[in-house]
Amino acid sequence: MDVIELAKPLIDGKFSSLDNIERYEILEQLIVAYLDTNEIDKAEKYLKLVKDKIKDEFSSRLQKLYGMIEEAKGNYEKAIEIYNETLKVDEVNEAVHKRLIAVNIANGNRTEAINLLNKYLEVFVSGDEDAWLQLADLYLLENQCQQAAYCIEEVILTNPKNHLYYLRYADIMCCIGRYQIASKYYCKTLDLCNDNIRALYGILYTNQYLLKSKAEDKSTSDETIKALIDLAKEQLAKLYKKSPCEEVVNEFLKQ
Amino acid sequence: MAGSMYESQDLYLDPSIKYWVLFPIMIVMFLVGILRHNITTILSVNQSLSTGEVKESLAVKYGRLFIANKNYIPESTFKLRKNYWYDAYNSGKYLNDPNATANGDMLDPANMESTMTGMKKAFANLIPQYVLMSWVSYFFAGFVIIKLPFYLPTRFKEMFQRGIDTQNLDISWVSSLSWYFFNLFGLGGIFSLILGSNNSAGSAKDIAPQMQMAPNQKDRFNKLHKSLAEEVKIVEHSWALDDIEDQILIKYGKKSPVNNDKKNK
Repeated sequence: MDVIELAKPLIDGKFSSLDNIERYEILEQLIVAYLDTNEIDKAEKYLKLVKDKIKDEFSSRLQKLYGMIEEAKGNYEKAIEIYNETLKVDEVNEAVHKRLIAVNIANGNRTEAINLLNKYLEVFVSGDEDAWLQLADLYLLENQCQQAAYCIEEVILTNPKNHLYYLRYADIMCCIGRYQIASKYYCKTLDLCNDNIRALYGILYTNQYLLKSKAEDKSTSDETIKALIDLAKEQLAKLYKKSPCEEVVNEFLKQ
Repeated sequence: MAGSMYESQDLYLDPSIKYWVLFPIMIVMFLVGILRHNITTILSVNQSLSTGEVKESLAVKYGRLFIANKNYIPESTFKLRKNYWYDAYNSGKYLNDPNATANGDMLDPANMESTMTGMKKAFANLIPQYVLMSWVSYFFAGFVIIKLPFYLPTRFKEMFQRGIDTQNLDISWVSSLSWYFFNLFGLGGIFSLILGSNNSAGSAKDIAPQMQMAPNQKDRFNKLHKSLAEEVKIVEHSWALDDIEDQILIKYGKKSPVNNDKKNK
């Protein structure tokens, strides 16, 4: 909504006085914003401005907008067709690749989306954290935790300073029952982000499990595990102090 | 002699010098700059990459990241990736053209095209510069056109009075050829105001990079991948999270670092 409020007067009133490149960037954002708020007719009206400018020349950016309008109308098949046509001409356009994948996800066609994402990531193998995260999400929806873990590893390799990635990895490790690794990654998250409640709960949960499990399944000593549990409890109690759910949490921690 | 330096030398400049030399040089240079900007825009071809080219360069980026951040993933998956990428780099799986040789084929159309665009750009930049300079030095040779309102040491004589061979002329007088150079360097700012910061109207700084054209080696990535294969092969894994529990406990004061050291010994 903010985009529309800010961009509309600019495009309507001062279109010709804007910088040549900038004005189309703003216009594109305005069109996308209208699609987000489901005002398709307005989006089409503004798209005409772009069409007038580039006439018959091929532009994958314009094609992408056409596709997005079809998407907003709900014609997923048509949109997919447009994207595929565009990719035939401009095969390295990341945005169009991503739209094509997004349509498939929206369409509920998860297997196809996973296939396409894999193909996309085969080419754009490095640097695209969002794509890997999306693929991990899709795998998780398909209950393929191992593959999801692989994707998160890729993201950690790309950016090892983001604690949220470690958290995701730990969650997935927890899911597939590798509590030792999960505990380590929860610890790493806590190391990078001091008041991450999820990490604290994770440490608590995994270590309580590890305490009970057999010696060959764990690499840390019982002493350390107990210390970690105490630490997690203590920190959680501290973080929930004066919050409405303090009592509930304390009750839980006593168990 | 030293005294005469500070006596202002009063030269009377014909006002028509101002109208027929000073302004024309500036205006012509300005117009040529704009013209050049437009010509370069027309000449420059949009170079689009193919999937293969994107792939091979991103694979190199991946390898570097992998080697840098390898310690943050568990050892088993590290080994998995190490083996996979060692094979991939070695066999040239991610290369655009695994059989490329040094310098490639001179007649390869892709190669020709990139060479041609480079030359086009260089010519579009250089020719106007040569033409303008010879125009100024031929038509306006030896003109003294403006006087700076301040004094400068004698060393600037070369710079301000190029084209005039008078030893005693005060430094603050500027010759026509020097005025040309001032415009050449100084108009860049004005162009970027008018044509945007990425203009190709070209001040002097644009000429320099054009002169040294990088040799277009087709097998650059093949070599990079081979060397990455070696690097990946020798890379060792030491898990950064090995003693993370202890680190956390130390951080929160549950365990003293000294104690930990003893344990490690």
